[in-house]
Amino acid sequence: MPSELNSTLQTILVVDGDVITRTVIADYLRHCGYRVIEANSGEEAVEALQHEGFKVDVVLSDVSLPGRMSGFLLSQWVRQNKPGVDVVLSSVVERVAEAASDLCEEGPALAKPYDPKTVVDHINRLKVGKSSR
Amino acid sequence: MVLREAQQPDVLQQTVTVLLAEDEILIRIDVAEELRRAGWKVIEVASADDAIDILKSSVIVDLVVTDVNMPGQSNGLDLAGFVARERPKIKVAIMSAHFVPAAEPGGAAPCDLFISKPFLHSQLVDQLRPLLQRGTSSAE
Repeated sequence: MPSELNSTLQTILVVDGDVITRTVIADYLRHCGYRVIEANSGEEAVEALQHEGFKVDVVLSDVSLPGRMSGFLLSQWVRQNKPGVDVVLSSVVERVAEAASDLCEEGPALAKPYDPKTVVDHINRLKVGKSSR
Repeated sequence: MVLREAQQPDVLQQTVTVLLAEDEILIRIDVAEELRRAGWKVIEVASADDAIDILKSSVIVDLVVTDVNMPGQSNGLDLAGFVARERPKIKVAIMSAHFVPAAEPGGAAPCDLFISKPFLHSQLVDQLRPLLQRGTSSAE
């Protein structure tokens, strides 16, 4: 990650088709002091990245996404069209949480609000509640 | 964290959680940021189907703000109907450019508030606040 992440309010685009995972990860990053926008799919992510008002610095995306654009294709699109934007791809929730934690350590807040395991545990608890109701 | 579980005591229990269903991402981001600026927690979904999925989970929601026309099996009116049947304590606000509540049977939208698009996003919180003051929390 570039060191200038610390200098200004950075914007992270979280891309995940799973609402619970995306919402918990996005909120974690907000607690770390980032501006966070969320996209449900690769197509939505591209639309957000093309909007000049958002000025995304980092894309944190799941590999598997709803729609025709996977995380890999999104990453390719970013490299070709937004070369200054970093992309972090993850395929399982533990890796997503770790990636978010790494971003937090480089972020504007003084300390991480909670560790990645807490994030994963919270996501898993909510998903258990979702399937059992 | 944004998502609260019904069973869990949480320091955020007093915080309002809004479930925002809107398939236009640029509108959704803008509206979500406006709601967060008011200190509210926002769960963003791109379809009524995803919203219903969240409402079937243990996540606490106080208010649903939804568009009408969205991709998927259900639209915003179906979502409002689901809330009325299954989670009646949750308030519903519908925002739409095309839907006309007066044309509905009974002349009213199946919601607590109808917002005609386009609207000033900066005024949205003021429009929604009275709904929450009339009773919040879906913890059932």
